[in-house]
Amino acid sequence: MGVTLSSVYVKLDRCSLHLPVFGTVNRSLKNLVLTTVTGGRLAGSAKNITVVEALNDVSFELKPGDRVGLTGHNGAGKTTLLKVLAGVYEPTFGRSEVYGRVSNLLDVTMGLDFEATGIDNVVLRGLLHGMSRSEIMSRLPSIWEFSGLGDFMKMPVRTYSSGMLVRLAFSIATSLDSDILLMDEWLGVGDADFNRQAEDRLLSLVKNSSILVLASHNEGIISATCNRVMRFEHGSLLSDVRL
Amino acid sequence: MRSPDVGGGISSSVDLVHGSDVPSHASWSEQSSLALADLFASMRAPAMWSALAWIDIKHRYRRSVLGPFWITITMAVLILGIGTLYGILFNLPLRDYLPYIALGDIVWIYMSTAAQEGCSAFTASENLIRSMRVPFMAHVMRVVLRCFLVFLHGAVAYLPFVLIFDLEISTVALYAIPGVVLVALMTPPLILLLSCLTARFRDIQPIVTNMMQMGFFLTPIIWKPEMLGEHRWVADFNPLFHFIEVVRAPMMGNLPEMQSYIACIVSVLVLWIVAFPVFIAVRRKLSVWV
Repeated sequence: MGVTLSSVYVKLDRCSLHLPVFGTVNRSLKNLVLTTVTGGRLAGSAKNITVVEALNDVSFELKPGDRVGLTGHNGAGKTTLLKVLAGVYEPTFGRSEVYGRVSNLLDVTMGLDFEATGIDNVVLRGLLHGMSRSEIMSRLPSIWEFSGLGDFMKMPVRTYSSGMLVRLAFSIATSLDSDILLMDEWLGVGDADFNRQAEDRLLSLVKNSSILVLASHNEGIISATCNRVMRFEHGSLLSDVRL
Repeated sequence: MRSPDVGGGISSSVDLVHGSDVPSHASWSEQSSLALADLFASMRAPAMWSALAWIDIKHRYRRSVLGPFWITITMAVLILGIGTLYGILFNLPLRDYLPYIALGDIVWIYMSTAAQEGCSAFTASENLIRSMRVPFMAHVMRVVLRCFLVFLHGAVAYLPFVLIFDLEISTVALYAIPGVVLVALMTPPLILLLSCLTARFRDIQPIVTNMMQMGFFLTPIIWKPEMLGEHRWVADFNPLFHFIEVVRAPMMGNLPEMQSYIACIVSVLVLWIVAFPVFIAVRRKLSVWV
């Protein structure tokens, strides 16, 4: 057991994640039945599900105050790792332990309901995060203000531009009570004003001793925000450097 | 192991599942307790799935004056059409036959929508499942509640028949309430089972749709079990008949038979006995399957 005084920490112990990729052929029941009927003659083709080794034997520990930047080529496993930390995927091999409340911004549109208004979406995300309605309502004004969306908060999200979506999603994700914040390549979509505001907020969140894990291709953002850089390639952790 | 949440008043529902060790290739007992934790977490957070179900209902009202009441109208039209036709074919008094078919159809549509929409409880929430950790049972309860709310809309279709035929509703009709509860209790394990299977095998959905179409004719909705004569067992061995009967019979002024209640309770238990182990077995793979 990782002996830590704090209740917030992350520990990955030799985690590997295999993601099956189902084609239209593989997912059908017919094939499975045929396989059974023909006594496995078709086994070769029917069970031949493509498996992507998205993470390969990854181990590390994170403690409060860690601000981790994930780097690597597209498809190196950064987003997958974030999804393991978010509890979306469970590792195929190894063990992942995540203690603390996680808030994530993996994908700007995530969990947003496009027909519902901005306000409804704030409430929905808050509820999904496990907050009570009254808690969310008490936080709504500050989320509203930070997003800078004004009256657009009363409009259906489908009318938003991509920059406005980022504003809404970022404002919500950073306003929920959380100990661990996960972010995937998001900056740069908002305008310069908002990006500066967003960086300030991130830094203040990090100062409150939460853990930040940020995947980005932008070296500038990483060196400005992070104190630890992990480099991934083909699902493996290549280097883990403290700055 | 993890200290309970302090401050913030955050309900630890989602967090607890999170905070538990997430092992891989873990033993059956560990997977069982994780599956149970998932169930409890969603039961502790009804606000979460009722908000989702409510949004679904609101979608159906959006830009439509009548919204889900179109279901009611469709149902009333169908009942009137089929009811009149078969009433004449079977030579049955419409005053008795139309309410019979109306009640049967209303409960039937509830069950068949639950089965058909239940298949996609996980696949339709793919975006959400792949972006944040929400108890899987919450996605199931979202569909359970949504189907129930739609059923309440559909139940209104019975009203015109009461008015047209000036039907008396006796106190026996109160027995329809536990009947509806039994039907509603059947939907969570049914939807859990079908959504787990559909996540892996997309063929399940069209299979269920077809079975429901067949079921409509095989279940006593437009015909009465007595009409089968010596083949009455076809109805008696059909659990769907009993789920309809516990609602329809009291509304028509008759007490349902004990065997109908027993059949319903046994069906609910059997569904859980099948659905829960399936859930234990597939839970950790659902997010990569959807």
